[in-house]
Amino acid sequence: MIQEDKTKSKIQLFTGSRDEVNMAEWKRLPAHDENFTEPSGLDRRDALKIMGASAALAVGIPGCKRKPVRYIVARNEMPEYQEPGKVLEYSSTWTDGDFPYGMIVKVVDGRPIKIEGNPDHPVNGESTNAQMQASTLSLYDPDRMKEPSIGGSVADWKKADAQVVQAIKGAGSVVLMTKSTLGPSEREWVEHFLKAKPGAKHFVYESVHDTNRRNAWKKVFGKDGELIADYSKAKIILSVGCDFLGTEPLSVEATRQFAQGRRALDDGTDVKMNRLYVAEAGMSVTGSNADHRIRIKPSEMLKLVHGLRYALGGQMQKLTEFVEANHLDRKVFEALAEDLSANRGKCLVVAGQEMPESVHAAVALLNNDLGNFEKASKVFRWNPLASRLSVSDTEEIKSTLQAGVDVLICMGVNPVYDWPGGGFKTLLAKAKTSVGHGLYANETVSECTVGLPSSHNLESWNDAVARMGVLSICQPVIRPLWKSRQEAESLMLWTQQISDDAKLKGFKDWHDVIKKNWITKLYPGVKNGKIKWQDGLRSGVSVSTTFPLRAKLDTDKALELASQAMPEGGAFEVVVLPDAGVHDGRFANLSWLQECPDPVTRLVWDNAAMISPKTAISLQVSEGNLDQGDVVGDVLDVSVNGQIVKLPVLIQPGIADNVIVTTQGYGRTKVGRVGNDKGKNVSVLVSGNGGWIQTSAKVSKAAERYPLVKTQKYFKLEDDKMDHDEFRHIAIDGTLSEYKKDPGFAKHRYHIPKQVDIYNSPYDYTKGYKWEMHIDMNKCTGCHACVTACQAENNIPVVGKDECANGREMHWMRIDRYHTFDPSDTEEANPTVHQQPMLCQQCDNAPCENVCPVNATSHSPEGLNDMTYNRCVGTRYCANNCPYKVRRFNFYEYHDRNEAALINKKQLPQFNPQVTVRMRGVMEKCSFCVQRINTGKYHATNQGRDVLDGEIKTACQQVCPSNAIVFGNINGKGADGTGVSQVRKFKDAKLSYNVLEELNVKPGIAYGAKVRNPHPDLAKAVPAHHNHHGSSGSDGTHNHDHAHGDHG
Amino acid sequence: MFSKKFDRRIYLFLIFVFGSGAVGMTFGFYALWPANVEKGYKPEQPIEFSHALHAGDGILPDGRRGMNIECIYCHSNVETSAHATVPPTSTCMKCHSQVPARLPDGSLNDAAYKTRPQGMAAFAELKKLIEDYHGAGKPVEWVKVNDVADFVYFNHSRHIAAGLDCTECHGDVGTMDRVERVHSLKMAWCLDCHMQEPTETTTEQYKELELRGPIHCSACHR
Repeated sequence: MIQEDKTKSKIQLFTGSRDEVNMAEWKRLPAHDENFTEPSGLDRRDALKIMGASAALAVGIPGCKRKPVRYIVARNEMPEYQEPGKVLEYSSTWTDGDFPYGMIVKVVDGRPIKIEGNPDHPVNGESTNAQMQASTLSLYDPDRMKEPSIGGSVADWKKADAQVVQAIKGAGSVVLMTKSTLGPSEREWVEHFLKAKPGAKHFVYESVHDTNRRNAWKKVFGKDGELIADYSKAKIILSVGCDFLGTEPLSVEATRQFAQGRRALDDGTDVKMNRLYVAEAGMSVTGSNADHRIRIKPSEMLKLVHGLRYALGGQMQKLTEFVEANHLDRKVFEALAEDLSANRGKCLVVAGQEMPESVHAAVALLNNDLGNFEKASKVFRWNPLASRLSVSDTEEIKSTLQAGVDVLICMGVNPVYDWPGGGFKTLLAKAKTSVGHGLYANETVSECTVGLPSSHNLESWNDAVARMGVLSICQPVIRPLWKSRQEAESLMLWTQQISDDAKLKGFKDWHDVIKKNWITKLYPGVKNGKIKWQDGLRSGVSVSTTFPLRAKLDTDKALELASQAMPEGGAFEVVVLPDAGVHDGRFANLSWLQECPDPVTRLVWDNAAMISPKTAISLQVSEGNLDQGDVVGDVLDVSVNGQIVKLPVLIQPGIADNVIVTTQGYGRTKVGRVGNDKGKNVSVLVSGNGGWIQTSAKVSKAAERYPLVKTQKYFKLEDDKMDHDEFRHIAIDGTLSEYKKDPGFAKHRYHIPKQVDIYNSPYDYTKGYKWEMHIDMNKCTGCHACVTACQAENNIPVVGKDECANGREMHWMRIDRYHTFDPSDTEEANPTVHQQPMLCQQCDNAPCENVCPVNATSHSPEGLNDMTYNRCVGTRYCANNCPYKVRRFNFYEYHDRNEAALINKKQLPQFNPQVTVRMRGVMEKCSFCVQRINTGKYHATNQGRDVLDGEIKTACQQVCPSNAIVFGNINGKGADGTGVSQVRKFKDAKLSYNVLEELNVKPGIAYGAKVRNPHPDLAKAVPAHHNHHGSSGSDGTHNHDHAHGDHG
Repeated sequence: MFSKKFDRRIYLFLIFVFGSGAVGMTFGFYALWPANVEKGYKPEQPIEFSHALHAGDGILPDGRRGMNIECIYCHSNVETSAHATVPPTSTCMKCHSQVPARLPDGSLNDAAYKTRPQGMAAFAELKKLIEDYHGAGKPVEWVKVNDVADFVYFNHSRHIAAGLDCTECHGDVGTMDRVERVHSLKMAWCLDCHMQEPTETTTEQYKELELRGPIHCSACHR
């Protein structure tokens, strides 16, 4: 490794001409450093010496010796159901995140290696989000807290328990702080605890929560609970700053329902398509799927909703004033008002959890006006039993702690890091005894007098309620790896010791509690409870739905609440949102999520101040661009209530002008080696009780600079002078009216010259197995769950920020983003976004195959483009010749040596044993999950039958919340044994097209062209020139300019 | 320049050097050729378990007859799984909890072994299994004999379902006292079989291609 002082001098030499760049902020970028040596603690000279010596030895001793002796260590007793190499599936519940989704944990030889959704779970089904996929990574995280500590020194559980119990017994005031996602049994024991210790207080704390919305609903509906929207039933959806496809809880279900409402893959006659209007300040995943996007400041949201209400009542005046004041397009609002009034009871208006209570009340009134709460309407259901508790008033917590408490117990919360406005450390110090219980020795736990390690989700028993009638079990799939204990069990043991209630003492551990509750409370009156318990463990979920429940809006109260005006906006407004990857920071040490590109900006390993291009011009700041040699971008001083955060600039079209959008979850200091000191902590910009929107912020350009890394570069795909035929139609979209006129419009967009093959394929692809895929871009929202699922399934390494900057990220699957601007939008302010998953296209005329000098990539009779790692010598010819840029090269043995990757020996157990762990110097790429294909084929063939349609699912297909990906045998029959397979049906649909079909590479993946559904009055004729701003994934072999490439 | 005799000596010397070099290389190549190195591998095992006694039905040197236990009794997952499964020690104990019998004080009864030739050697091995391994809760570390590289994903169940007999790859284990590798298990050896004419158990897919089994890369490498 290069030493610190050397680095500086070298960089100064290198960048001597650019003195304005702040040297301290410069990050070492290997490719730019000629003296860089691989981070292995070995310099080049040493390496050469060792190489020479080993070569000498190699000549002398070798061949006579066999390969190393290897052993088969059979167990003494084989655990139940286990066979070597066999995948066992256990159903469980994900309790790490903000919603308890059902999951299936795949366990091989006792090691949990992969998470799938639980098909029996009515909320998420077989799909998951990216964070759930990373669960297995966090289980094996070597940075987890491993044993209890008292006063900073290691202790055992006995001592720690004794100290805590003694402190509680002698305490006058006890405060228990928990997260909001407690299961029913946990809630029950919190009650027991409060009863056992009179005067104890329970506070619920989260830094990301939906309590603004819940409180508003409580006030206007008169009862506690939540409204659940069914997006599949709505024809018109208006989102008022609600990222229901992205960072909101329930996004997995919402994505599925939304996609159900955007089915276009048929002959063009029977099209089911909703229309999505999104009014937002930032650019969210939901916004990038909108048919009409309204860019407005967050402080104007309330006026927008009120304006709409008046407009629907026949008074356009208010809306017109609002539109003119904000320089918006009047036509969009006219269309919106018309659409809403024409679809009473079949439209949905939802507001984001960041919005203040008044907006939620106004939205409830608007929905009420539109008849969406009426019996006939099916778009909303009332759920009286929310999965999350409402969070406590932060002011109340503050004043309680300020007064001084004897014992403060922080369970699974991290207020020292994310307390709104900061400054929890001093509050914590006021407590005589503080107890921190967490997965990591994080900012809070390390400050506490007693620090206790929590067991992981996959090591714990629990139950969870997703909603009324949906109860699920969380069961451990592995013994705790460290000396940890789950939080609920700690609470139970302490309660037992301080309580006199004999009934509470009967429980041995948390498993006892869960089992007893499941048997007695879930199936009251069922005698043979044991069987039901086994059933519960097997399916993981119990569904006894009594939906739909309705709620009646108290319009007077709603009007009163909705009339509370939002504070007027100042020069700059700040919006703080949860991060798409690390959420509120709890996943910050998971390298998969750090390196999973942000679904909108494609930013990795950082958070940023996201601003619109116009704001960037007015602030005279620019974003660094590696391509132009200007590596580091500007930094903004964002100041709210006197607190300043320095945030690097990221320019994202689509954000409202003079608004700074940033994400929570970064700037952790004590989470682990991966997450520490990544990005900036923005919790000081948030004010208490859900104040994520700051309407008067001061923003100025800071003196320093900071390099951000995005996995996609931004440049024009098409020149104005370019001939239409010259332009490559990669991501094709059209409007619904165009689709109805010409269902095959996608194929008519481009011209295919006469295609001649030089040689014939040795295989007949019309018979037997031929694996193909179809990706419907009408359904894909770009949520990136597939990218992480692929990483988990295929042992894909993480490369770290520096290597991402070199374009060497290893994701086999990426999602390409394209921005299209209306010709009238000269500022390029409001893009229409196109998300396109891009992975190996498994071409039948694969250009990679015929340039490989060692035949490491070849074609299989089943249409797969095989990659044989043990043959590859790493010439990278194949990657250069691939028109889709989907091949990845392993430059530095990332699994072993890259510090940022941190997949060291402790994390090896996560590897999928069915997939080779590739070494350095080897090309790799998507294999269509050939391990799953082979396993499925073996299974079917051993039974003497063909593989059924849908029997084999690729990892990306299985995880996809919107079911956009269909995979199967193109020559196969349908799942019922008749007709054709689903993939064939979709491929034959008129919307389906191949990317770069004109190259005659015969890709095995077809895409369903995106059909947009703008209001007919606003649908523009397709311009001859699509002003596409495209960005293509780079593959580490500097080919990111393929969009400019030759068009021969 | 030199005398004829001396010249001849030089020639002879050179012939000897090159000749022995050629012979040596031929021998070396033969001896070190991977297939030949792999074949005949017969490592010592932690317990001298005799397949001939358990799986064979021939007469053993000490006059006992093999017990002819089916392979699948111990290698129980061979029909369903990629791995045939080397059995857990508990499988051995299904019989060896009774054999040898125990004396009332709990110690193993060696009376029946004392009379047999090499009987006490066998008894020592059994004692190792029962007391040193199973009794102590220590797993047996069997040395892997038939081993393929880690980048090869071989599946036992598929081959058994296609009607192959265990002996075709593992040799006649029933005659081996100590297991020995009889084939190289190299890719060429696999392909020798896969590239033959299809048989009746070959699936349609490969009959079409006039192969017995798949020969494309991803069939085994992934």
